[in-house]
Amino acid sequence: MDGGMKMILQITNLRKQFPKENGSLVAIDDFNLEVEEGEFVCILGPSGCGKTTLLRMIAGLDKPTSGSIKLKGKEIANTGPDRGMVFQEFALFPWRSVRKNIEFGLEIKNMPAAERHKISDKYIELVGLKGFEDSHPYELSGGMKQRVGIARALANNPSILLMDEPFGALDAQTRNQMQKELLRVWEETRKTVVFITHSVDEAVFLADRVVVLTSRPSKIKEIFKIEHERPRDRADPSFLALRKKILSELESEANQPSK
Amino acid sequence: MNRSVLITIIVAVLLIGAGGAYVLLSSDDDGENKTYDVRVGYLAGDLHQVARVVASDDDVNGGESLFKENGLNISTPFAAGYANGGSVMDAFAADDIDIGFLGSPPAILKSLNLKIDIIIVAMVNSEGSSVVVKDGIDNFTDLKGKTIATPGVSSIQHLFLLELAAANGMNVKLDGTDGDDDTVFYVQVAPKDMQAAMDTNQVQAAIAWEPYGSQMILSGAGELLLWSGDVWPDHPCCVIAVSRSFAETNPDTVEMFLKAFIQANEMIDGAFDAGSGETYDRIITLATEFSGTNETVVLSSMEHMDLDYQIGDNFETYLEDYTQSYIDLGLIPGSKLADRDYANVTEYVEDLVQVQYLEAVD
Amino acid sequence: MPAICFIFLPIKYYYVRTHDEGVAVNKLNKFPKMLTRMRDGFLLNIGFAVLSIAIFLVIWYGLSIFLDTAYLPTPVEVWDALVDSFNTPDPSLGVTMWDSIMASLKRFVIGFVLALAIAVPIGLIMGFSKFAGMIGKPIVEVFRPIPPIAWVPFLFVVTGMIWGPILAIFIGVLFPVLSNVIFGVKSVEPQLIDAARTQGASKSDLFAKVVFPYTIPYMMTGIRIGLGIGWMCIVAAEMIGARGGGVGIYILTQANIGRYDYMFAGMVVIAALGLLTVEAASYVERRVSKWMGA
Repeated sequence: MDGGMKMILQITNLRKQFPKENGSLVAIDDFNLEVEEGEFVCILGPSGCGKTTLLRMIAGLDKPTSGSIKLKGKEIANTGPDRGMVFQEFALFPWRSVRKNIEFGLEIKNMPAAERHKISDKYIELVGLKGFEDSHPYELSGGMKQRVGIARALANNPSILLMDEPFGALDAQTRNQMQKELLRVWEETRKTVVFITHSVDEAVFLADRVVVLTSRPSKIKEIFKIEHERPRDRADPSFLALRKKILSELESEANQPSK
Repeated sequence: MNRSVLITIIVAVLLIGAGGAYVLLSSDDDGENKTYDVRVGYLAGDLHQVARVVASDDDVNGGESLFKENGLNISTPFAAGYANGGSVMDAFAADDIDIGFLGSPPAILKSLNLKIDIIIVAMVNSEGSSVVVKDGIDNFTDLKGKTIATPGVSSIQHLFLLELAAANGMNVKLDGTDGDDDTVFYVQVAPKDMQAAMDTNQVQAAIAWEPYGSQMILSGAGELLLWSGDVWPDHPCCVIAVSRSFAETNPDTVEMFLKAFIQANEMIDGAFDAGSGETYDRIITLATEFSGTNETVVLSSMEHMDLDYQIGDNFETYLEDYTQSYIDLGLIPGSKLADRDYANVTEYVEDLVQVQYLEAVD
Repeated sequence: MPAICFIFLPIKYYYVRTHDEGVAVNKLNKFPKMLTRMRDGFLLNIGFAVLSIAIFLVIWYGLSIFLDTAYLPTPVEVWDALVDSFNTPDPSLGVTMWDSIMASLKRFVIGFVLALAIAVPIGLIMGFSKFAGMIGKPIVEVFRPIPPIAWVPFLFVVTGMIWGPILAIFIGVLFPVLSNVIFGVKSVEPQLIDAARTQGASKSDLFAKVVFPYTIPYMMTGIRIGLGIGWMCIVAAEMIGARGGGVGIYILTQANIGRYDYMFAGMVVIAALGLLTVEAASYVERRVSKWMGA
């Protein structure tokens, strides 16, 4: 956060367009962002803007039309275990137990079983899933499923954690609890996080910086630095004021027709 | 308009009336040449039944077949012929046929087991089944552990196999099952496919009706082990069976049918006695076409079966033996005789064999 | 009769499953509740099964008495024949019903395993590779509508008495499994592929660790359908001819000699075997799809 910190992610002049029946659809245009190591960045935008596309390009799942994304100074060409991703719909492997889900990436690396076990134990403990190691996803609640998703992303020890509306499918109460849990995990691991959301409340509660996007084609509209001490009090007047300010920014954007 | 419609109707009525009257009158006029409708079933390619083929042929009789000449209007619901005697019995049960040519054992088996009420009115042939074996099998007991093809469990050939095995202290089991040292294995193969089964060594022996036994021997697929006549002299094989209810209501038809059949037998005897001539040639042609073989095979077959319609002294004895064997072997439950109100096997066979139709025309 | 218990076992589990689809956060707490449901569902189901079979038997009995033909024996006669067929060797075949069942089962298992061994890899490749799919699909579509039984005479002539019936089952099982595996591969959730890729999975990792396990329930559906067809095929094929006997040959032999009570006993055995295998497959299918979270 301080100027002395190392830059980990650099996005420059990013543009993404999809072919369409008549012409093409520009999802993201003229996008520039830098993220520092250990920073928690929330990307906030009206639904239907290119938030998810942006995250998928960072993950390497989609290729930019032009521009550059660099992780630790290296251009991103493909997917890789150095970027852990957490999905809105959890995307757990239903036939694998909690432990086996978390060890998936380690298996890919051909890590010996004993070593895998040690790592999965650590993250099961970290996300609070002790006692559920051998459960299957169908036996778990939504919040527990996403704990598995987070543990799975962290088990690979990535440089950056990409979270695509990870709590969007959860009920409000679970969602609040998961936000607190995520902050606890983040404070323990000090991972860089890029977190996509369309909830202003969530962004203000979690982030060091909130990046507000315009509607399509998405550009950065404004960046808010949130300097409130954690744990943040949602009832605090300054929290509410900030929330209101960002919300009005976002609403003015959402009311505009897509270009 | 109305008038023309009326005229049309009157003309139509007159025409139909005249046509009907003509048919009625002409059939009254022609009492001598009354026609008898009858539905007939028979086995596919069984040379034992060659007299039926001869009686059906127009050319061999110089224009009109023996059946037609005797006023019979024959229809064949299954012209290709039934695969085995069991199927002929099923055709009786389904009321598809009135008269059937089949082996006497399947007639007995199904008439008792399934209460199909038929009578036997004439013999078709005696003997004429053979056991054909691969090289190196010299005695029946050499078949221990070997596989023999039979036309099916309800056939006389199968009964012959069971009797031979019992006489030699052997048992018969389905091929591929676990047997003991005294087991001969059987597998059901259609007689026309037996030669191929022998050639490909799928079986080491076969037991078939003619002409397939002769065909295997002449083609070199196997060697003759024995003829059924060697073991059972003059044993009845195929017979003419009639639905009992049909025979009782249409005795004339049965008699005329038998008359034509006897004439066909006599024609064949005469032709073969002569050994040549137009009739002889035509019979050979019919036999080869019907059985799908060649002249050599047909001639060999004719030598090894006895075409004979007569119900001789030992006919009923043999049928009693067949019935008793089936009961002893368990293929006919003993209770089946009582179900039909027969005290014993003799009573059953006496009721089954009805000679009066044959006696009326012979 | 232990065989009867096996028939009802899957039904019991079915009830556990249908009442247990909710999220089981703590399995231990649910246990007594589960037992109660299992008992109620089990008894209810047994009750209906018994009622249904009883109605059928009464109609059968009435019909056989009314028609009074040796072609339709009474259920009592068929039961006696059934018991006898297991206890004494058949006079024509020389073996008991057990031997016939074992012969059919052996054939069934070989044909079935053969079909799986071929349908699964081909289905995976055809679903995964666009090129293989485009080459293979027309062939499959041409052959699939041909009823497996239509192949029986050809197979019997070309491959003989041993392989004919086995290959008939093979064809019967092959196509349902193949089309379901292809469908399964095409149904893999793109999110799971994405998740695996972000975990560093290569194309072969995706195939082995995502696509293959994902298709297993689809495979099971294909297997269940194939099993039902398989029994029809084996009986038809055995009737044309088979070495070593089998229930199909048993039925045909009894028909040939006119022992219809024993023939119906053979048909009852086929029904039981079909029910047993299809129910077992449905049970496994349900377990697998539960395991898959479906």
